[in-house]
Amino acid sequence: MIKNFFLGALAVLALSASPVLAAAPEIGKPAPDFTATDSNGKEVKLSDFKGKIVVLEWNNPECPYVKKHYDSGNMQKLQASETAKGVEWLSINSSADGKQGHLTNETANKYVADEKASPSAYLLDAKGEIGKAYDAKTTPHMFVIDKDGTLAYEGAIDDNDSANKEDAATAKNYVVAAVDALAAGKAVATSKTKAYGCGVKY
Amino acid sequence: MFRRLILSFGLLGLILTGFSNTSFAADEQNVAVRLLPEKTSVKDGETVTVGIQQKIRPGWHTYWANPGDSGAIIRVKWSGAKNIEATPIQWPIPKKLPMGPLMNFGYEDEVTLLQNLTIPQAGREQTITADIELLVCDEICIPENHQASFIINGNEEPVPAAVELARTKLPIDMGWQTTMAETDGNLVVTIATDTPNAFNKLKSIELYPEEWGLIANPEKASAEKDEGHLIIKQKRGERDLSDAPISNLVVVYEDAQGARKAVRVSGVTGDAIPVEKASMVQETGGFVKAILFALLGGIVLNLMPCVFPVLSMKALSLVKLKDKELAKARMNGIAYTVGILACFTVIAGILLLLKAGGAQVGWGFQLQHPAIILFLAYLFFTLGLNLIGFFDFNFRFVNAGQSLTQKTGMTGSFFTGVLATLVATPCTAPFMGVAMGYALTQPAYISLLIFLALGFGLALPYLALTFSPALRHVLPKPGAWMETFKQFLAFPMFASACWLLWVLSQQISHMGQLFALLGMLAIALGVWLLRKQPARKEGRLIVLVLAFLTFGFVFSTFLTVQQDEAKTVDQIALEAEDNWEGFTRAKLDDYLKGNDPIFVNMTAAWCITCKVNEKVALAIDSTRNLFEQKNVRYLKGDWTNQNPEITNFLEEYGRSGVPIYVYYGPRMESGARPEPVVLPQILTPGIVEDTINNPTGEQDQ
Repeated sequence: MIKNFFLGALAVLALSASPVLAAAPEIGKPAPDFTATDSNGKEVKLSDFKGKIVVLEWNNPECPYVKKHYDSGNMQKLQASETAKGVEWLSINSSADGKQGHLTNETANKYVADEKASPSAYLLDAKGEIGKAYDAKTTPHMFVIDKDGTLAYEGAIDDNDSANKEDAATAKNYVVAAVDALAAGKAVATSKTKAYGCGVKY
Repeated sequence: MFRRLILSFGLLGLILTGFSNTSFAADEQNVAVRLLPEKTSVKDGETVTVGIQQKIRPGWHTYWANPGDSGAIIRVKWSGAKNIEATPIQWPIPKKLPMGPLMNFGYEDEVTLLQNLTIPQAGREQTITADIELLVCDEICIPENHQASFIINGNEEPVPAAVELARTKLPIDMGWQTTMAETDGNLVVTIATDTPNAFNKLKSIELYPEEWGLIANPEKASAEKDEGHLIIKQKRGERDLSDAPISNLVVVYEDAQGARKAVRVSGVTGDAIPVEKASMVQETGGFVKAILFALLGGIVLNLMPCVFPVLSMKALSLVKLKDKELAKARMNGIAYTVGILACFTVIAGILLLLKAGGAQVGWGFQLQHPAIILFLAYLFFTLGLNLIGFFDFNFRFVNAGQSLTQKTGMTGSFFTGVLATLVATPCTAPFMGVAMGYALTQPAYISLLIFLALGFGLALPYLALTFSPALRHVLPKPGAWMETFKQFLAFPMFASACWLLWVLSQQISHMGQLFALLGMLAIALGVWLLRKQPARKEGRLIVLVLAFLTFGFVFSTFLTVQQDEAKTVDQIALEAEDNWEGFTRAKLDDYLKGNDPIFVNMTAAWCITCKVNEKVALAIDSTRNLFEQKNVRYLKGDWTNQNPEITNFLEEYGRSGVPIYVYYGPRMESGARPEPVVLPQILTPGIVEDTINNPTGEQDQ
C-alpha cells in the first residue's frame, strides 16, 4: 500500500512535470502552423510555404539513429535531392536545454556545416513547442506536408528500423515515396508508419 | 530531479536484491548478454528452448515487443547449424518506462527472452550463435551489437532451471475471446475471462498491445468488470482501428497478494461485436443471480433469532382474523412489505452515498457505530419487556415498535416492517454475502434493486400468509397458549440485547458500558413510572416529570458511547493469546513472502455467522491441531469497528461484509503459491480440513 502510494505520488510528479501532449495531427487534416527561429536567427513560419511541399525532420545529432542516416550520408543525399525538387526541408531540434543533442545557433550551424547537410533551415525548438504540436516522438521522426498545408505523411524515414548505417541505402524510403506521390498529384500509399529511433529529449 | 529519484531508487533496489554481482565498468557495454539453453544434447530436428538473458546497467532499459513511443525491438539472428528455425520471441511481462511526455514499454535490471530453435541437422558438436542488435537507453540511447553462443552435443551443461524460471515471468496465454472497439476516442478491449476474480484490483490493470499505435501510450488504462467480462479502456493511439492489423494484447494486473501478473490474448481483431450488446447480455445473467440470492437471503433472515419473535407476533395476530377480514389482512401485508422496503431503501441509500463519497464501507457498516448498537440493544430490551407483559404500549409518545404493531391499522403494519428491518440488520444471512458484494460493485440503481430484493425476501413469508387463507389455516387455533408463547418470545429478545451489549463492549470504554446498563435500568424505571396512574392531578404531573427525567437519562447515554480509539485497529493484536494473530496488511504480505500456508479470517463481534463458524469449525481442537501440524499462520481481522485495511481486503475478494475465509496454500516446489482459496461462508470442520489438505483445489465461489 505504501508502495502504491509512492508510485502514485511519482506518477503525479511525472504528470505535473511533463506538459500533456496535444492531440496528434491527423493525416489529411491541416498540419499545425508554427513560427520558429532558425539557427541564423531568422524567423520561419510554416504557413509561408503554402504552395510548396514541406518535409519536417526531427533531429538530435547525438542520437544513434540520426547518426545512422548522417554517417551513411543518406540524410544529406535526401536533403539535396528533395530540395532540388522544390521541397522545403526543415530540420527541427527539440532537445531541451541540458538534454542530449541540445544546440545553440553556433553549434547548430557548425553541425550543419560539418555534416555537409543542406536543409532549407535548421530550427531550434528547445521548449519542445513544435515537437509537441506534432506529437513528434522520435529522432528521426519525419512529416511530409502537402502544398495546401495538409499533413500527408508521418512516421519513420524508411522501412528498416535498425541502427546500422549500411541499412539506410537499401531500405525503402517513405519520405521520398510520399513527396513523389504528392508531386505527381497522386495519393500517398503509405501515409502512416511507426517512427523509430531515440525518444525526443523534451 | 524526478529522473534522479528513479535512478537512486533503482540503485537501492539493486543493492537490496543483491543483483550487484554483475558490475558494469564505465567503458563496457550497457547490457551483458548470455544464452541459456534448456538442453544441450540435441538430435536432428529437435527443438531447444533458449533464454536470451540481458543484464542491464542500472538505470538503463531495453525494449518489449512494442517499444512504445520510441525505442527499438531487439533483433536476433541465429547461425552455426544449417537451417535453424526460430519461433517468434516470447516476451516476459513488460513495464512502463516514462520519459518526459513519452512512454516506453520494456525492461530494467534483468530480463530473459525465450525463443524455440528447431535444428534440422544437429547431430554433432557445434556452436550455435546469436548475433544480437539491441537498443539500450537511459536518457540517451545506444544501439549495441552482441554475439553470444552455446555448444550443442559437446560438454556444455544445459540450464533448464533458468529457462523454467524465465517461463514463469511470461504472461500466461489465454484463449479468451477478446474484442477491440473504438468508443469516444478510447480503445475498448472486452475480454471474456473465466477467472474474473483474478482482476479484483482494477486500478492495477495495465494494457499492452503488441501492435503499435492502438493506444495513447502515456495514458492510463481504466478497467471495469462486467460479470465474466473484463473491459479495459485507454485513450486510442494515432492509428485507426480499421487499418490496425490483428494484435496480441497483454493485460498486466496485481493479484490478491500484490504480485505483478499478466495474461496474453492473441489474434484480437478490430471488427468487434458492439461492446454494449455483449455486456448487456452478461449483465443480466449476473444480475438475475444476485437478485435470486438476495431474495433467498431475505427469506432466511426470517428465521434469525432477532427477527423471529417480531415476526411471530405479527403472524399470531393473523390467527385471530376471520376469513372475511381477508381484505384487511392483505392490506396489512402490503403495508408491512412497504415498511420493509422503505427501511431498506433508506439504509441502502446511506450506504451508497457514503460509498460514492469514497468512504470504506460495506454491508453491516451500520453496526460499526456504537450509538446504533446501543439503540438496537435498548430496542430489543424494550420489546422484551413488552412481550413478557411488563407493560403494553399505550403511551402516546412511544411512537415506534410494538404499540403500532399491535394496532390492526396499516400504520402498525408499516412500522412492524421497519422494526423487522432494524432487528434484521445484525443478522447477515449466509446467502447475502455474495449478493451484497455484487451489489456494491454495481451502478447505484442495480445495487438498490438488489437491496430491495433482499427486503422483499424478508417480507415474503408474512405477505404470503396474508394472501393465502390456506397457509393461514395451517397456523394453530387461538387460545391461552398464545399469551404463554408471547411471554416466552421475550427471552430471545433479551438474549439479543445481551449479545448487542457484548458487541458494544468491544467498541466502547468500561464507563460507556456502565452507562448502557444504567440506560436499560432507566428504561425499565421509566416504563414502570408511566404505568402508575395516580388519582390526583399533582401526582400525575410528578410521575410525568420523573419519567421525563428518566428517559432524558436514557438519551444522554448515547452521548457517552463515543468510539474508544484504543479499541479500533489494534484491539485484536493486543488481546491475541490464541493460535491466531491480528490481521494487518503488512503482516499478511510478510507471511506471503515466506513459505508457510496462511489462513485469513475476517470477523466482527456483531456477525453471528462469524461466531458460529468459529465455534463450530475454527476454535476446535481438531482444527487447532491441523493448523499447528501444517504450520498454518492464522490471521484474524476484526471488522467490529471501521477498518479500511480490512474493507480493502474484502473488496479484493469481491465482498462487502464479513465473514470471509481465505486460505493461501504453502509455496510449491516451483516457488509459486497456489491460487488462494476462498472458503464458503458457512464452515464445517470438514471444509476447513479439505481446504488445508488440498490447497490447489479449485477456487470455491
